[in-house]
Amino acid sequence: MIIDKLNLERFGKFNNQRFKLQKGLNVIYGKNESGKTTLVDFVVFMLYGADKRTKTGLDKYEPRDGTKMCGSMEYTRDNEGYIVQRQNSSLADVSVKNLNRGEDVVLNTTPGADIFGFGAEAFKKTFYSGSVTSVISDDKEGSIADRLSRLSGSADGEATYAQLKKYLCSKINSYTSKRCDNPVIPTLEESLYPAQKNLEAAKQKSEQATEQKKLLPELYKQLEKLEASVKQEEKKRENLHKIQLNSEYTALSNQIEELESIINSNRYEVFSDLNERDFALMQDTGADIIENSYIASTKYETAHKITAVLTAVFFVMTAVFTGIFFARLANYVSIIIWAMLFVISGILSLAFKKLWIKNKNNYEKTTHKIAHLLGMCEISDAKDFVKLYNSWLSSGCPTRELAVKKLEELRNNFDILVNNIKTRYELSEIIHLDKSAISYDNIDRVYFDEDALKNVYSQIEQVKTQIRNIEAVSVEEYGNLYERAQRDVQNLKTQLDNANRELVVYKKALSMLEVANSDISRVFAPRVSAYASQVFYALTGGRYDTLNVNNKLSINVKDNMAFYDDTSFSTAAREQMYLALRLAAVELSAEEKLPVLLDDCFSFYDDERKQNSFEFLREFSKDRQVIYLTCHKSDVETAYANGANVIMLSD
Amino acid sequence: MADLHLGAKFADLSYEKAQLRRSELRQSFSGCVASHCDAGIVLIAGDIFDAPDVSVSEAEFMVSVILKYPQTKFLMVCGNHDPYNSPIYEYMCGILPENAVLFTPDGDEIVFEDLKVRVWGISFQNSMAEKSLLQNIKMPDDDYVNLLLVHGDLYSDNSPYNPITVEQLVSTGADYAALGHVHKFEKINKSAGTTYAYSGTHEGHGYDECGRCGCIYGKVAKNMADVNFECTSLRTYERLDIDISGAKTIEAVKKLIEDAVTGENLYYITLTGELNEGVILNEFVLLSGIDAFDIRLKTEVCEPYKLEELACEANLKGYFVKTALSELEKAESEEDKKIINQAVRCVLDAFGEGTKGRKLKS
Repeated sequence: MIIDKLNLERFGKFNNQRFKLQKGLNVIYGKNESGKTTLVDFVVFMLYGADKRTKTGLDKYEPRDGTKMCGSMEYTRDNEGYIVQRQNSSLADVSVKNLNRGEDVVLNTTPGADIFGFGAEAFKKTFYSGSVTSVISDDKEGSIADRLSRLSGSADGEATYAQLKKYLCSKINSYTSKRCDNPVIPTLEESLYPAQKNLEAAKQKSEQATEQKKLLPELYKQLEKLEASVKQEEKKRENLHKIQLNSEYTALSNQIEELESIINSNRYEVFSDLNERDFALMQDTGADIIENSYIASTKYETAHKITAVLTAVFFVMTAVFTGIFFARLANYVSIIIWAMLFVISGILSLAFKKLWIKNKNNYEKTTHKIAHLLGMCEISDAKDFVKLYNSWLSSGCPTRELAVKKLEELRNNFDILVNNIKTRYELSEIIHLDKSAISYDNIDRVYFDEDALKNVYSQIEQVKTQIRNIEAVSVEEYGNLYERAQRDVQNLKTQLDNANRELVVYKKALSMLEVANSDISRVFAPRVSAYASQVFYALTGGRYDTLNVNNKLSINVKDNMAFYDDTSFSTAAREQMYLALRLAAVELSAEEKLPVLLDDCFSFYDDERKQNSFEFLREFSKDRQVIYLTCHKSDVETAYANGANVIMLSD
Repeated sequence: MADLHLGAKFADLSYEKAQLRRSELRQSFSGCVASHCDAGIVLIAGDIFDAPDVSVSEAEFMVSVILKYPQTKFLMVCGNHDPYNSPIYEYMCGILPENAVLFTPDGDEIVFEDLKVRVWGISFQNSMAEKSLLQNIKMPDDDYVNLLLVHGDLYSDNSPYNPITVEQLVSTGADYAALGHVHKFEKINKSAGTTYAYSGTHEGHGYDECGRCGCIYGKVAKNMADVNFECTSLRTYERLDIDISGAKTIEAVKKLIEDAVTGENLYYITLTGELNEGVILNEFVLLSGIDAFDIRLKTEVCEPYKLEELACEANLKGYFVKTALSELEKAESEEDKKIINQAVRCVLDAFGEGTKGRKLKS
């Protein structure tokens, strides 16, 4: 490729200026600030544009009048002329036309990338050389080394070692590195743990559900039993209620009846006349009095009769012994004894008779009194009288008026009770309740154990809830859940296995790529070394014959004595070394002879080195274009002497 | 749970399959609830229905599920697909059981004294909410566990669907925030004392929703949530790349597909790798008899690499292939050889178009 013309319409300080270049060595001379670097940058602008994204740093050449930078560049390639035109800094706004055929050239990326196979940065580091700093060793991205590593036979557009390595590393990182968003393997591992927990839980749930379902028949039986028990208790409560109503009915009826009879009888008159003694007679104490009088009377009657007999006997005995005494058959002591016995028993007999009569009278008097009281109330039995009297007292009706009022009240209550019964039951059913037909235990108790019933109800509710909960759980659903959890874990494991396998593949690919790169470096390094040695030999006028570049592109130099590393040389010598290396890279990195731009590379050189260098460039540029920019007039002269096309820039 | 999209059309499926999928959406939801009926609270974070005017039967179905579990509380918000003023909610609100709550667009707070839980939720009023619905929301910091239920976009500041931020979630004081809108579960996140997560949809709706779908289940306590994602979907959408390199016949390719298809799911299969000479990929032959709910096939295969020829190239590619061939010779097992072959293809594919991808022939 040969750059033929540069047409700087508007670019930095240039305005509608044209420069014509030739094949071979071109020297552009200008003082400082005359625009030499601007010319080189114009070439970069034509090839790569000035979009900020390309980081060419060319946006600084925007004209100050606010217009857009623009221009064109004509070049020859494979004997065909082309023109690159740009109307502004935009990356896309570029056209390349084949001047021979008049056709537009379709660009894949930028003209520079299409021609050189490099981005703007790599182009500047390879084909454009400024000072010592921008050399291969500064090739941090490794693009030049990559390009060199592919050397001949590689197809354009192929990935470089660095790109492939980056690609594989990013793939490996995407599987393992936690710095990536959702790295495949850790993410899967993180998912697997809870999935396994879920599986365990699902299994447990499924088993529990199956087990619980087995409990259902038992629970239903339990429920049935409890409900039957409740039914029975309810029935019992009902019957008790009936019994209670029946009792209430009977009691109330009796009370009314009793009160009516009290009111209708003359008891109020009788009872109001009773004194304490009368009442005592009617009560148990009265009965005791009668009883005691009767018993005492009987007892004394018997005692009297016995003592009377004894008195008679003693009288006879006294008479007998008196007779015997007089008959001198006994002494007088016996007569005295029998006489005393006779007197004592006689006295006792009289005393007993008195007590007998007294008690008999008392008994008769009391019974007579009671009979009188009973007669007044027309009651035959004294106990009934007492009962009646007590009921009269307890009825709280000490007067007839109150009794009538009470009766009224009782009747009202009775009506309420009857109505209450009627609303719930047949009245006759309650009135004629057959208690013996109710066969529950303890039916006679007067209260019902509500708490016990409540307890049974709560048990029923508990069992029902248990049943509801078990029934709500679908064994099938839990089975499905378990199945899904199993499937999920299995899928995750498969994915994890696959991911691990893919990782192994990418790691293997990377290791093989590194081996290949190492192998090829061992091969291309000698080629770079061989060509750089030739250049360095020419530049140093034959002083050093070997410039070695190792696989990592570090340099050492050999004269006819020994090897030295680059750090032991002067700045100018190092400049020469790196220029040699750079030109080797240019030579070997592309089959096509592409232009080389050198920006005052020889400024550190002495005259001899400059002479050697221009002589070398004359040879080097025989089949390619070299554009050398300088601000030194002596360089122009030396270059001109070596056949260079000289272009002078105005101030 | 979130993004149930009941009544979804499944337009990319045939009529019968779409109908079946619609019923599976229901089945999957009811199954999910049934298998977690011990949960005290079920949170549904919006997009319950696929559209504002889906059939009322969808609402009736929803209510029937809720009624089945009276001891469980169902709390719901409306999303952008089914905003609060939709006809479907007008209908559903009329039949909503006592154990269900639909939060309004004004934002409501509900306290369950028995559970010692407070829930704050907000529904979409319309199909868009360009400003965050969580502005200046703060739940009291007391003994109650605070839950937040919201449908919104945590990933885009300019989203028209309730753009929310992690800071906003945290500032609500929620112990757990159930989020809806993003259909794919990614992970359980925690910031300060707030745990938050998109549960994703319970059942995939298309090939852009591949993989595991389900719900998040667990226990939430003060400043702590022990929750896990559970895969509960009946079917999954799967995108599979099947490398057919080495398959010498169409039957072998078919076998690879059969091995990859593991269930009655929906598969989007891309055949990759080298296509051996003489193998003609006939979709009908490849897919006939394969047991899958839905299966689609795409071929992105390339011609087989001629390794011996490539090894002669005096460049990185050539050296790489040479290295690989030497490794293949040393390989001790078939598995090792398989790995080396795959590694070779992966690098050679990458050589084809730089790092952009493989040079493929569709």
